[in-house]
Amino acid sequence: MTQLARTTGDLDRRRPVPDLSLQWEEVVVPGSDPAPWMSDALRAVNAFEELGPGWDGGDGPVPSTEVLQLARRIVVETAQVQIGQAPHIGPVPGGGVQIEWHLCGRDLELEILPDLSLGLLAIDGERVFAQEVSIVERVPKARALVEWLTR
Amino acid sequence: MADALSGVTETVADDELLWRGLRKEWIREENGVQVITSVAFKDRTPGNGYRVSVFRRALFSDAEVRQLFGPAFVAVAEIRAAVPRSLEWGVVADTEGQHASHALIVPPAGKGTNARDRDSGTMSKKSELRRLDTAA
Repeated sequence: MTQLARTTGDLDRRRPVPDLSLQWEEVVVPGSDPAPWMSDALRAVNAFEELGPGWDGGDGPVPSTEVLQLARRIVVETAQVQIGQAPHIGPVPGGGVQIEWHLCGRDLELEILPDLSLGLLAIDGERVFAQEVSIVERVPKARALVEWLTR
Repeated sequence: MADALSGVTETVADDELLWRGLRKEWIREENGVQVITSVAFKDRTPGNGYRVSVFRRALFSDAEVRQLFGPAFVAVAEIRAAVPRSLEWGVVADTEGQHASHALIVPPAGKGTNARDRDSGTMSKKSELRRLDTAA
């Protein structure tokens, strides 16, 4: 066991650090068993393509094609995490999309902003973590936070 | 309508009820209970300054509900003006608005995006959900 651990550690040390460039982020490689809610979640995102003028009661813009594409990528990526609860997904006035989970006292809100950055709000009881995530980190960070929900 | 407006000033009282239109996607279900999401109290529209559009319930009649809240809205979030004020947000009448009842929930200048987003969640939690077919 000690030998195995040492070997794994050696491998970890040799494993190259992934290049978190935008090009790397574009590649979504689905696992073999995505969460069962993935199809419904993608349908929810696709439905936002139908939003028209006045959708928010005012004259705000609808989510752009790029925002919806990023929402789909985040849905597919987070569906690789074995989390049973489906996210709730809604369009945000101003042209964003929010993907949120509320599980066992933990709340996670991922908001794709109109400029394609990602706003995140994670709440665990009294502890609150909020951050605006850069383009480079947004998809891996979304997945990491969904993994946090399951721990 | 003229009767409804008599004696009303531009100041929005703390105990006034404000209605915010809700799309179906802004309502989620938790343990069989319908809950308003924080999205209901967000607005990223460019140039809008993160202000949230609401209507003062005392200033419109039951017959005007569907005029103010179009078919996209299935419900409203009902919130007292005191709630956003307790979070340091302003609540002001919109004197140039689309309707005399229109008002704005205005974030304080010093609050950043993260704090505002937390406040959006607080406001949604402290709102009552009223279905539009039964709300009036």
